[in-house]
Amino acid sequence: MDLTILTHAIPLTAIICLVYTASRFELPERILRSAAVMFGKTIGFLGAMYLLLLYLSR
Amino acid sequence: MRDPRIPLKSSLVAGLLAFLFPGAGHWYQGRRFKATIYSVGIMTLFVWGMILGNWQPVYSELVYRGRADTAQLEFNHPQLKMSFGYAAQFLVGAPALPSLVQDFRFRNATGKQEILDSEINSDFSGIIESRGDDGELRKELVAGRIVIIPAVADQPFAGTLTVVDKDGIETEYEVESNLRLGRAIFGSPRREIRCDLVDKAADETGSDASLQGTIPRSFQDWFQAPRDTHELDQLHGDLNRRFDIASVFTWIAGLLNLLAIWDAADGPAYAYGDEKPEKEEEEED
Repeated sequence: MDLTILTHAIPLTAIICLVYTASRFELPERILRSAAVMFGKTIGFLGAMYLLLLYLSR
Repeated sequence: MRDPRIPLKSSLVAGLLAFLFPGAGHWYQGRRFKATIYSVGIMTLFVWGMILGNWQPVYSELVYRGRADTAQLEFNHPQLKMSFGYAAQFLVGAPALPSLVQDFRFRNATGKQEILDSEINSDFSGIIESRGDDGELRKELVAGRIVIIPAVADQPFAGTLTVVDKDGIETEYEVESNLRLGRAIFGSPRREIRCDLVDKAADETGSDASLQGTIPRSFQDWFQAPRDTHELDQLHGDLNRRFDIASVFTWIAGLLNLLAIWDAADGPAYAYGDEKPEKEEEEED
């Protein structure tokens, strides 16, 4: 399986998190902190789903 | 409620600027940090999508083709269908607006048969169909150079086609008749060309052949212009999943800019950001 296509998801997620949280708050520190938390949760969820699907497909 | 600490200035102007270019509305309001996040983030995503999709994921209209292989060679009024993806891409603003200009140019040129009004002198690639001495139809994949000059003496055009085969041997054909050019404005970097040919090196009776090929189309005539399913099939064939990812990136860029437009016009959705979390407030009480 071609995994390089999945690497696009990481910077894509980072941009979505940053822009989304920027539209929720005004203070830079709050934006960056919330974006980092959201990024971690999203990547964690995507990674878990990937591992689950990988396990089920074996 | 709007926070008085946020300098929204004119909401209408800020919203309009935010639509025209990601981050421009916030720059106008002096909210430079957010302007940078929006412009860099959204434009990175949009340009990244464009690069992944060979600069072709953005188009406002899909052209239905009739009986021809490609809608490029049909000059009737084709059925057009709006691209749903463009509804999202449109929100990026100026970077996706050329598509509307190309749509206008495409519709304006509809119904007019392409005529040769200037010289064609370019590389080409395509297939030459010819009948051998045994009468059997042969198809050969070729590339070379084509030169066609409009209106020579009483002839509507004159031209030559030079083909170089893999051994480096040149064969020259005369462009004889039935010249057909694809639409000038169309969402494909290659413009279709069809014509009948005569092999110059053949005996007096000549050897009839025909060309089904393409020549390069100028950037301003294909960028973000309407295209047909034939062109999309070719893009999917060449780029595979990359074209789908490219399209999704440009859609997401547009949808993210909707958040930026909203923020420029009405401020952040939740709060300023220095409020204490609810738990801390309860403890203090």
